[in-house]
Amino acid sequence: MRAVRRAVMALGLAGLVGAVLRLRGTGGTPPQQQGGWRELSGDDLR
Amino acid sequence: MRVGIDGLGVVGLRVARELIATPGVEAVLARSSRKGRVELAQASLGEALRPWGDDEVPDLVVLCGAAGTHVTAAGYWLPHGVPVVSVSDDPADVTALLDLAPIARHHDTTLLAGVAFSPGLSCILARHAANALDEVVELQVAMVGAGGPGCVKHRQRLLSEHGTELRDGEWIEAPGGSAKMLTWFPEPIGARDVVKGNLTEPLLWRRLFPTATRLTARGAVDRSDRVWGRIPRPGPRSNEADPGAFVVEVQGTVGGVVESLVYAVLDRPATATAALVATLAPMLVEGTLQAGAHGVAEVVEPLPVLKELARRGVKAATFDAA
Repeated sequence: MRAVRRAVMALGLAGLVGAVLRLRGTGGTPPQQQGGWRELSGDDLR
Repeated sequence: MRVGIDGLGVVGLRVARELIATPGVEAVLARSSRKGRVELAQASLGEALRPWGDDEVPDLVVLCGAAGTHVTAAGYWLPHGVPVVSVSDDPADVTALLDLAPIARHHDTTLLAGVAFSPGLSCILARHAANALDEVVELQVAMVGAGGPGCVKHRQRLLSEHGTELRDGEWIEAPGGSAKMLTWFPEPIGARDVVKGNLTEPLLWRRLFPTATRLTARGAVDRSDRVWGRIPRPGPRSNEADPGAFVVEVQGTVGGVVESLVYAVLDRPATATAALVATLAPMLVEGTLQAGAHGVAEVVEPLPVLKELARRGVKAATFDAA
């Protein structure tokens, strides 16, 4: 019975850690975007 | 011309609205598997839209129904010599539709597959970018958003399935939900995580750019989707009013120098799809496109289409590095 409880506890903890990792990821602070978007017009569409 | 629309979900309704406002369209014939949907559309769009009788053969058929229904419908209309447009973004649909090429050629008509926001407009912008390069080496696309509630669910399913992509000239498996990457979309969407899945662009791009060695597609998923995956949940998690966007990046060489071009479109996917279909409709009915089954970017010149789309309010943008 104790082994079953430990197994359930281990699975629960593993699931919790997995869920946190899946949500949070491990990438840290994302890099900032350099530059910007410009609408296509005039010469772009010739 | 009389255009038949098979399927009146969010995309079908938008296509109907755009076609009615297109010069040369006399009537839009519509059918839907949902009871009362045609009457509802008629009340909103007026007498230019009417129920599609069983014996009526339109000049063009636009397939806007659920994924999985397009191949049978296209197989019915092509032998009548009627051009067909499919807005399905499902790789299985697109592959099966392209396999109908011999039937379309035999009856001297045209079938366009994957005519949507992404794929579809994304392929036209990819070809526009490729026209500025001497050689195309790599293409990638990332998309966020979907046409309507049905499209949201379908897109969610595609992103949880394994797809294929081209790497180093070889097709490899692209596991659903894998290779998360941060991508900047035009504002107000901004930075979003995108993942691989069962997406169509690599299949269509291979036909357009046979020498490219890397073809990749990704789509955005919500955090709740990443946690719950394919477990069914009540209600749509998005609606038609939500803007969508895609970013397509094409890398290659110009004069031996490596060059990268990035284009994007920010719009409601259903609206942009409708504008694209309405732009193509006159070309298909007049028979100016090559007979057979194609992806849209294989048979149209990008610039006239982009100009017409801009006139209709669907505008592309390019990324200028600081």
